[in-house]
Amino acid sequence: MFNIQKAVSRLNFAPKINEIEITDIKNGIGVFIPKAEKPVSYAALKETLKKAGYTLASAKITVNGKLTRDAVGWSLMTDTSGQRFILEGEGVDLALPDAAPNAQVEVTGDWRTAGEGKEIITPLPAKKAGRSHNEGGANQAKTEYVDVTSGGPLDVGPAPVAPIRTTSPGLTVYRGGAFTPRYVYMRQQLGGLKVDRHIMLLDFSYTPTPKLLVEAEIPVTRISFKDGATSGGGEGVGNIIISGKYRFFRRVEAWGDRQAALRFGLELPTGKKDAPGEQELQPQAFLRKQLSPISGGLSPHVDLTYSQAKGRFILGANAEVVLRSQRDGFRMGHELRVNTDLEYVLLPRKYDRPGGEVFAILESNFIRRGTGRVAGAPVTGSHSTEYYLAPGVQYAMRPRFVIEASYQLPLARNTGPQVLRIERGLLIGVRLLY
Amino acid sequence: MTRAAITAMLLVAISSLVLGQGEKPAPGLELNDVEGRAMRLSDYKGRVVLLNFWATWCAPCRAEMPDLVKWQREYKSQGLQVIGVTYPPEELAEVRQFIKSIRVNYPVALGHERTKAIFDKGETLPITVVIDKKGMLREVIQGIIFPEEFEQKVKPLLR
Repeated sequence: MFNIQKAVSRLNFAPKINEIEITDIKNGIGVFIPKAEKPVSYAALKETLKKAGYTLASAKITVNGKLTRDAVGWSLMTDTSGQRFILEGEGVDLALPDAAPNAQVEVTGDWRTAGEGKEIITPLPAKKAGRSHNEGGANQAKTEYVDVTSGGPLDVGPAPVAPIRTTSPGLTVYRGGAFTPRYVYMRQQLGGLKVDRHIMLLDFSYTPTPKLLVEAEIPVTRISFKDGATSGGGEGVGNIIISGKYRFFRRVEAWGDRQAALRFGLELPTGKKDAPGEQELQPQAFLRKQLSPISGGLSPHVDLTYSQAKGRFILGANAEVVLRSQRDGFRMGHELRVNTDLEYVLLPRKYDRPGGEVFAILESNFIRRGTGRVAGAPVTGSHSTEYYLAPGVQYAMRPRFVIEASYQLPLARNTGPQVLRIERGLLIGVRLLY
Repeated sequence: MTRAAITAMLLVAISSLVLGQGEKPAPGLELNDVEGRAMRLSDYKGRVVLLNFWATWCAPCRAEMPDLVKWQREYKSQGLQVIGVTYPPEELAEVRQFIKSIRVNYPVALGHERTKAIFDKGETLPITVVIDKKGMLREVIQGIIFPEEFEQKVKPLLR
C-alpha cells in the first residue's frame, strides 16, 4: 500500500503521503483530498500509478465550483484552482435538475481525462435525508462514503488494480431544496383524559449558498379528546417556524464526513389559539390550552447540530433551546431538547449506484420543559422531563425520493400533574428533493 | 547462507558500538547470486551501491526495475553499482527467467527476510539501500524509487 501512497504523493495536486488513505487494502481503494489551488488530472494519476506497477481501474471525484454553460453543455469551474471540468452523461440532469449559470454546486462522479487538460466528470446524483420526531430533532444533511469501485488484490500477481477515489474540499449542504411532508400521530394522556393528536408537518427547505439552509415548517393539527363521558376536538394551523441553518464546520475524511451547524429559528404567532373543550375542561385552563395547536407566542429557537458519518454508520446529535413567550397569557415552559440519531446502512450490502438504500434508525429525544403560564400566571405542576426512544427505518427509494417511518415510545417521564404525557408516537414521512 | 547472515548481523552490532548513532558504515553482507556464486558487499567499496530488495511477485518492484537497469547503464562509469537482492518466497527459476526477460545488467543475489531486516524491519517492498563510495550507509528508500528521488538522493553521491 505504501507504494500507492508514495506514487500518488508525487503528483503536484496530491497532499502529503500520510494524508493519502488506503481504505480497502484487499481491493486497492484509496482516498485523498487534492490541493485546492492545483489543477488535477486523471491521466496524471493513472500514469503515476502505472509507473508504480498498478493499473487504475476507475476514480471518482467530488468538485465544488460554479456552473457554466456553452454549446457543448455544462461545465464546472472551481473557485480555487480555476480548473474547468466538463460534465457529461445521463447523471447530469439528475444531479443538477435546476442548473443555472454561475450557481455554486458540488458534483460527485466518475472521472476521466479526454485529451490535454480536458477533465470530464460523469456525475452521480446526490442524496440528502433527514427526519425527526417532536418538530426539532437531529435533522442534518449527511454525506455517505460507500465506495463503489472494486479491483483485484494488490502486490499479488501481474497488473494489480488500484482504483482511487478522490474528494476535493467542499462545503455544499445540497444545492436545491426539499419538500418534506410528515405525518405525526401522538397519543397523550392525563388521568382519564385521552388525547389523539394528528399533525401534518409541511416542511420546505432551500440552500441559497453552499453553507446555508433556510427552512419553513407549517404544522396543521387535528386534535380529539375524550374524558369519560365527554369528548370533543378541533383542528387548525399551528405556529409557523422559519429558520436558517449555517454549517460552520465540515471535515471530509476517507469514507467519513463530520459537520456541525448552528440554526436560528423563529416560531411565529400564526397558529390557531383557540382550544376545544371550553365547556368540558373549563376548570383546568392550562390543560385545556394544551389542546390548541400552539405552545405559546413568538418563540426563538437556537439549535447546535453535529453529525458524523463513517462507513455504514451515521451519528447525529443536536441540542436545542426554545424560549417561549405568551400568547393571550398562555405559554408552555421554556424548552431544552437534546436529540441523538444513530443510523446504520442496512442495504445494499454492495453499493453500486444511488437509490434503494435502507437505513435502520434509532433516535432518542430528551425534553426538559420549565413551568408554563396561563392567564399570565405561572402554573404549578406544569414542568416536565421526558425521554423517548424512536426506532425506525428509512428507505431512499430513489436519490430524490425518501420514505421514512418511526415509532416513538417513552423511556422515562417525570411530568407535572398539569401536563399531558405522550404515551406513544408514530411518524411517517416522505422527502422530495428538487 | 546462515553463516553469512550471522556474520552480517554481528558486523552491524559491532559497527553500532564503535560509531554510535551517526553515519553508519554499511554492514558486511555476504550472499550468493543466482548462479550460486558468493558475492560480498565489501567488494563494491569505492562505488555508490544501490542495494535493491525486490521480489518477482511484487508489482512495484517489477515496475521500477527498468529504471534501475537504465541508471546502471548510464551511471556505471560514474561509479554506480546496483545490486538486486530477492525477498522470499521465490523460486530460483522464476527469478532467473524474470531478470533475463528484462535484461537486468547488474548482479542479483538471493536474500532472506532477515537480510532485509538488517536495513528495514517493515513490510514494504521494494526498498533500496543507498551506500556511498566510502561504504557508509546513506539512506534506506522505502517503496519504489522514482526518478526525482534518484536525482536528489543518489546522483549527488556520484560526483
